[in-house]
Amino acid sequence: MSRRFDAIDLALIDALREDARATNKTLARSVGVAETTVALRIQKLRDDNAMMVTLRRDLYSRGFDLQCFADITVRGRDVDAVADELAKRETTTSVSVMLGTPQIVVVFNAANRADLLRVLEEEIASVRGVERIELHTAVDIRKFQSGYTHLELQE
Amino acid sequence: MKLDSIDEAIVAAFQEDGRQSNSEIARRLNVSEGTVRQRLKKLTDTGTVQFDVVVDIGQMGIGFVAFVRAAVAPRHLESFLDACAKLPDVFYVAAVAGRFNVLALLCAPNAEDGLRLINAHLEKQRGLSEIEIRQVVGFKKHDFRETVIAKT
Repeated sequence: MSRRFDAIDLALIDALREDARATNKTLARSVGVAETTVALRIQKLRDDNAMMVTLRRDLYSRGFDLQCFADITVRGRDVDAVADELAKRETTTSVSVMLGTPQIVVVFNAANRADLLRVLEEEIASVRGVERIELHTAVDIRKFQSGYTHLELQE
Repeated sequence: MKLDSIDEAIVAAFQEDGRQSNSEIARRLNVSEGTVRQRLKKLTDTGTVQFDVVVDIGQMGIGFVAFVRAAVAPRHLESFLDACAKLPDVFYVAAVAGRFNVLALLCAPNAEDGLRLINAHLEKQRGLSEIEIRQVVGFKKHDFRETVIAKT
């Protein structure tokens, strides 16, 4: 579903990216519209699942030391079914179906080496159809914007 | 920092809608507005949480999302990471350990624009020996509520 964000929506999103907690009054001034317009627009964007302001948590301060990207090669089972099952696992933070092989990329966090092993064995390797796992571990994260997602995927 | 149950409740409420006022949250959680304000300040000051904007990928007209992975000579790694991080269409960049040493996530309106961006800004970087572009055809899950907050 594609939507047309008009110039006001886009200016509002830009202003919110600068300061997500700016008051409607400040936003109104920087976008050049009335304060009521700001409030209505933000509500409409939220209701349409087009944009939301949220609070994000730092994964290191939650006790996760390792952020891992696992390339999953699927064999003998429908890729979508494997991806759905991986998405249901609580430890996975992102599951993408890719063009070509490996067919799935799973992102997950682990507290330490033992936890990493547990996630790999119990949460990923145990899913039927997972044939091979190749891992990349982030050692120095330089940029991590929320940017874009499928808002309708969120509970 | 360690979060107690009140911190957790405040975080969860703001995750649902980060535009709520402190007093709305206070009323919902049956605590004082000062409690919400002080705790939120501590959480943000310590880099535990951060407010952010999330936009729906489909509605924004983004037709191309890709994992870009690169093998870069160690002495050029720093400048390569900088070049990636500077691109507004790149929303995640990390040095990684594995077959490649850089991983980035890229968004563009379509594949053509995405590839043009890679050609113009990344492929000419020094020290690059291999670059792999893997297109995402579908997100099954993407929890945007996690991040890494740069300590300043």
